[in-house]
Amino acid sequence: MRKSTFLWLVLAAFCGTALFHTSQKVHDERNRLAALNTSIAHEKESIRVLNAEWSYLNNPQRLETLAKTYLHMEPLTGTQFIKVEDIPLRSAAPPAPTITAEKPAVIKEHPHRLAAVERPVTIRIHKPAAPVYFKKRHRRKGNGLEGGGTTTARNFGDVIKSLGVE
Amino acid sequence: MAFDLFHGRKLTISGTQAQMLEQARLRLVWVVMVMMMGYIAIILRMGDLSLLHHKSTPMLTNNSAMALNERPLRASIVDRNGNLLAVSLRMASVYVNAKMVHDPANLAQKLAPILPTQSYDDLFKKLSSGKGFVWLQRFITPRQEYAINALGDPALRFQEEQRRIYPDANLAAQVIGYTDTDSHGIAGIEKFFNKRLAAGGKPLQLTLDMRIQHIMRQDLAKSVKKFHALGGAGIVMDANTGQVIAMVSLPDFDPNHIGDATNAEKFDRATLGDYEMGSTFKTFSIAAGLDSGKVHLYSVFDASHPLKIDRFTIHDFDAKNRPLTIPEIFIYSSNIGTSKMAQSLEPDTIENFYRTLGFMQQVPIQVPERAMPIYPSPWRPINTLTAAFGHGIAVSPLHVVRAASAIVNGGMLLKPTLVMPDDPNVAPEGTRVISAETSEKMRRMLELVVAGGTGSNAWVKGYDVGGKTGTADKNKNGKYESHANISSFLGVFPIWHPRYVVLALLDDPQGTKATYGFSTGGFTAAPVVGDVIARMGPLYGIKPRMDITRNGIEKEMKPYLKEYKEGQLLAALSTDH
Repeated sequence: MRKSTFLWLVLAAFCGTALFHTSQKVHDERNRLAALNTSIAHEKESIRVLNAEWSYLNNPQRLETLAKTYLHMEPLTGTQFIKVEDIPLRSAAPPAPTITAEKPAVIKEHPHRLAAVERPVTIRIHKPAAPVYFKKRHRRKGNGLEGGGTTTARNFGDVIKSLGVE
Repeated sequence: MAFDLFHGRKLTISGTQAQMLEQARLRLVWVVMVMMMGYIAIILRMGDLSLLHHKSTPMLTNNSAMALNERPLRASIVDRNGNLLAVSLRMASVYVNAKMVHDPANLAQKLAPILPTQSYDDLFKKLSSGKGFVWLQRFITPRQEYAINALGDPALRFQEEQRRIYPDANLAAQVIGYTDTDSHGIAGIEKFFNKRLAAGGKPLQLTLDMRIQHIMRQDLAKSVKKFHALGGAGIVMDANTGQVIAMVSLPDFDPNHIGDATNAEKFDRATLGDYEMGSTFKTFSIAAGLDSGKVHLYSVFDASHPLKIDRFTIHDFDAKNRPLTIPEIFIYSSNIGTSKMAQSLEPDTIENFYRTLGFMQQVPIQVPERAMPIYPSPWRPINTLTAAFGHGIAVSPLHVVRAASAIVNGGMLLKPTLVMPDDPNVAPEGTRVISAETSEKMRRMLELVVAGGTGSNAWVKGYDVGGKTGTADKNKNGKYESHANISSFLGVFPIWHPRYVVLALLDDPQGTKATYGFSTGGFTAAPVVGDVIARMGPLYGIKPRMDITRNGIEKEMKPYLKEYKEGQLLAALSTDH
C-alpha cells in the first residue's frame, strides 16, 4: 500500500503544479488581455481623433480654396459635358502625320509634344531605334531640317535635332 | 467485525469496541458523502458555466470605459456620404484641490503660460480658494495635460470627459444643433435624437450632403452680402423621397464655440421661421384650381383693373391691364388674376388644399425647431383671395419645399426627412394631393417662368430648370413694411423629370445698381438657385441637355400666350411681385 500512497502523492503534487501553472498562465493572459483591450481602446480613440481631423481637413470650403489656389480648378459646368458619340473616332487607316520639318514652329504650337521630346529618357530610348539612313543623311547635310522628308521617324529625329536636346 | 485497513488481516472485535468502530465508520461515510455532494455540485456548476452559459459570461476587461462605469462616447453624426458632422472625443479637464496647495502664487505663475486663456489673477483666486474641488479649465489639449503633469503638483488633478466636436463648424450649424458642456443635446438633431446619440454605438446618418450644403451656403451668403439682407434660408430636397439634401440658414454660428453665438444666429430660418411667401404660393393656388377641374390652362381672368373687396384693393406689380390666361397669370405673376381665379372656385377649395399640403400644421421633420404656420382663423372669403397670392398666410421655407415637391413629383405629398432610411430601396409613403396630369401642367408653367418669365435669372445652360419667384412685403407686428421684403425663389430641376426642389429666401434684401434698385425674388434669390443648380447638376452626374432652348417651351405654350412673339417674352418681363 505504500507504493500506491506514494503514487497518489506524486499525482497530487503534479496536479497542484499543473493547477498553479495554469492559474499563473490565466493570470498572465488576463493581464495581456487587459493590456490589449486598453491599447485597442487607445487605437479606437486615435482613430476617432484622426477621423475628426480628416473630416476637418476635408471641409468643402477649405478644399475649394486649396483647389482654386494650387490647382487652378473651377466648378464643373453643364456645358463641359459631351456625348461619347460626339468624340471623333480614329479612322481605320490614319494618314501618316506629316510634320513638315521646315516649320519647327508647328511643334511649338503643341506644348505637350514639346514636353514629350524634351524628356531625356524618351530620347535615349528612341535613339538606337532611329533608322540608319537618318544618321547618314544627317551627316551629309549637316542639319536635317531642309530635307522635306515624309516619314515620321525621320522627321521626329529632325525635330529632336532642331531642338538641340541630343 | 472489521478489517485491519493496513494489514488486511481479519480482526475480531466485539462489544463496545465494535460499536464505536461502527459509529466512526458511519461518520466517515457521512463526511465523505457530504464532500462528494459538494464536489458534484461544483462540477455541475462548472459544466453549467462553461458549456451552457458560456456566452452570457460578462467580459470584465472588455471595455475600459465600462469597467470604469463611465458614460459611453456619444454617437457620431455623419452625412449621406459618411463624412463626420459631429464626433465626441475624450479630453482631459483639470481641477484643483485647493486645500492641498501650499504656494498658490508660485503655482499660478507656473500655470499661467500653460493655460493662456486664463489670467494669473483668475488662477491665483482659484488656487487660493481653499475649496476641495475647483475646475481650473475644462477640455485641455494633450500638450497642456502633459505640461501640467510635468509640474508634478499633487493638488492638480485630471478628469477625463467627452467633448463634442463639429469638424465642419458653421456648415450645417442649425440643423445639427449642439450640446451643452456635459454632452446633452440641446438643439437641432442633437436634441431630437439625444437618447439615441447618448447611448453611443452606430453613427447617425443624415440625408444631408455636405458638398451641396456648402454650395448652397456659399451662394446664399454671397447673395445675402451683395444685397445687404438680414439673413437667408436655402433648402435642397429630393422631390421623390422627401430627403433633405441641404438646409442652410444665415447668419449662422460655430457650434464649437456656442458661447459666442447670438440668438439671431441660432435661429433656424429654414424650419422655424414663418414667412409670407408671396407669389411662390401661386404655384399652389393655381394647382388647386387646375386640379379642381373648374379652371383650365385656357381659362381667362380679367386683370384690367385692380380688384376691390371691402376696404382692400388688390393690385398687380407689373400690371398688364388686360384679360390673362392661366399661364399668363403665372408668368406675369398677376395678383388680380390669381385672386379672380381663386374666387371662381368653391369657397373652401384653397383653404382645404392648403390644409392638405400641410400649411396649417408643423412640418414633421426631425428637429425640435419647427414653426407653427400663421394662417387666418376663421378663414373669410377675403383670405381666399389674398392667400391665393401668398399673403395673409405665413409658413416656414420647409413647408414650401415639401409642398412644391408634391406639386412637381406627380402629386405625392411626402414626409420630409433628415435621417437616412435603413433601406433606401423602400419607396417612401405619400398621399396624393393632385393628379399626375395637373402636376405636369404645373411643371410646364414653372419652366416657362424660368425660360422667359420673372425667374429668368435662374436659367442654367444645359439644365432645364423650372421655378417661381416670390416677393412679399415684410410683416412686422401686424404691419406691412413697404420697403422691407421677403424675396424668394422656388426652383425645380430637371423640370421634365423633377429630382430636386431648391428654395432660396432672402430676408430684407436691398436692391443694387445692377438690379435697377429691385430687391424682388427674381433678382436676388433666383441667381442663388441658378448657381446651386449649375454646380449641383454636374456633381450629381445629371446629364445636361444642350438641345434645350428658351424658345422651346415658349413655342409649346404659345396657344395660351396672347402676346407671344418669338424671343420677346423674355424682354417684356423684368420684375415681379
